[in-house]
Amino acid sequence: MDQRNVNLSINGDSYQIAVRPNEFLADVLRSKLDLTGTKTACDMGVCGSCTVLLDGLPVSSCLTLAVDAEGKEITTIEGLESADGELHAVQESFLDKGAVQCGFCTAGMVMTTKSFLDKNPKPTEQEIRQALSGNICRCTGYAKIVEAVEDAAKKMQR
Amino acid sequence: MQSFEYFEAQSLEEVVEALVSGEEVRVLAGGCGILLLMKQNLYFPRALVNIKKISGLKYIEQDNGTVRIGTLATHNEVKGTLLVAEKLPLLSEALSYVATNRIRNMATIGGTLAHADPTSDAAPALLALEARVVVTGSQGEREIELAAFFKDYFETVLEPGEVLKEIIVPLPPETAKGFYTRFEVRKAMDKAMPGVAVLIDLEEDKKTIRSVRIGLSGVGNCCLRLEEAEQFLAGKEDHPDIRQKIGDIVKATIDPVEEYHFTADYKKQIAAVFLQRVFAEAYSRASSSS
Repeated sequence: MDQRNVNLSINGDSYQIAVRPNEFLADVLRSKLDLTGTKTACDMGVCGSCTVLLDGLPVSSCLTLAVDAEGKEITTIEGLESADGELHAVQESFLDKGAVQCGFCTAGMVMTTKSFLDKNPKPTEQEIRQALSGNICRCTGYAKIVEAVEDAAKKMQR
Repeated sequence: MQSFEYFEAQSLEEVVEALVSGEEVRVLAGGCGILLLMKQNLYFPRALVNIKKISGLKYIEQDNGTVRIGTLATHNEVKGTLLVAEKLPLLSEALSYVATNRIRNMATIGGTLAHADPTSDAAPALLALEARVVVTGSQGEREIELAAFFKDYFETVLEPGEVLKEIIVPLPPETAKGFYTRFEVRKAMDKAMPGVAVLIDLEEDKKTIRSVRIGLSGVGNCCLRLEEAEQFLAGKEDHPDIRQKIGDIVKATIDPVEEYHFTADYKKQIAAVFLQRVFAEAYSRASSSS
């Protein structure tokens, strides 16, 4: 398969790389660009651990072809902290509330939460659970994660 | 993942050209269906034609008593459009069940119909709304009733060289009300078994059924319209006996496959129960609407 040159815009930086049409964004991020914060677990679009934002909307990067991400603004977990290294409110809250166990689902949970709170800054617990329903935590630490999202919503309103 | 030849089309003409260029050339839109099958080594197309870079296929617009939806509109784009939320709430309701928010941001409405997953949530609603699809191919364009579009398990009546271009949904009468739900054990990533959509329009007395449309998924090789039950219900009022009867009709019509966890009899039974529940809710919505 021929490689194609694509220009990916990730976390505000521009990357010129050669990819094959059968390469998925999740694998390109991890293997070619060393952005290993994004995880792949089920690799079938189900579990949510590979969630990244395309133009602000959450997608499964394990089902998104890298060639299709061209021309879109890609945000990964690495893009959340500010330039001076300060964590995003969602990341702070996940730490403060102990919403991380093994950590494998965390990047996906955080990205989903970020896009959700951008749209719905004052969610109910029910809405939070609905928003996270497509992200699976096999440590089953959902209670703390919901608490962290509630906490992040409060922090982001200040 | 497996290798394949890859084309990026800039127009539907280029798609048709690529599709007729050889065997096993398939259309790639949102990719949530076909790429998943390829990842699991269940399907091996020789080539994929990516249609996502074609501009002008994402519209959702009202036109002459219908809503026209471009094939590349995503589930969330369709669901989130005010036009659909106001005029086709049954479709919005059904789309909110699909997979997860992530997949709804990726998967296209044309793709999900062409993929012909028998456990679709979108298809029952679109069947009940009497949607049609517009396909384009080397012989030109043609319109197909959605009820005649699904042929078998993951199979449609699309000819080689044809691509789905547009979905046309006739606007139901303002008085018609619908309801969609499905049997599910999880909130995300579940499959309809069954998914049932019912759209009911009542006479002025708010009791007698003027017309009813029923779409069904998840209990057979294709999504289908339950025309026998529709005809039976026309002109009748809600009554436990008629609910019993439509349950009997659905059991006699569908032919579900036996699975490890679910026998065919169980699937028939649950299809009847869900049809009765969805009918009752749609009827109640229609009779209480002003």
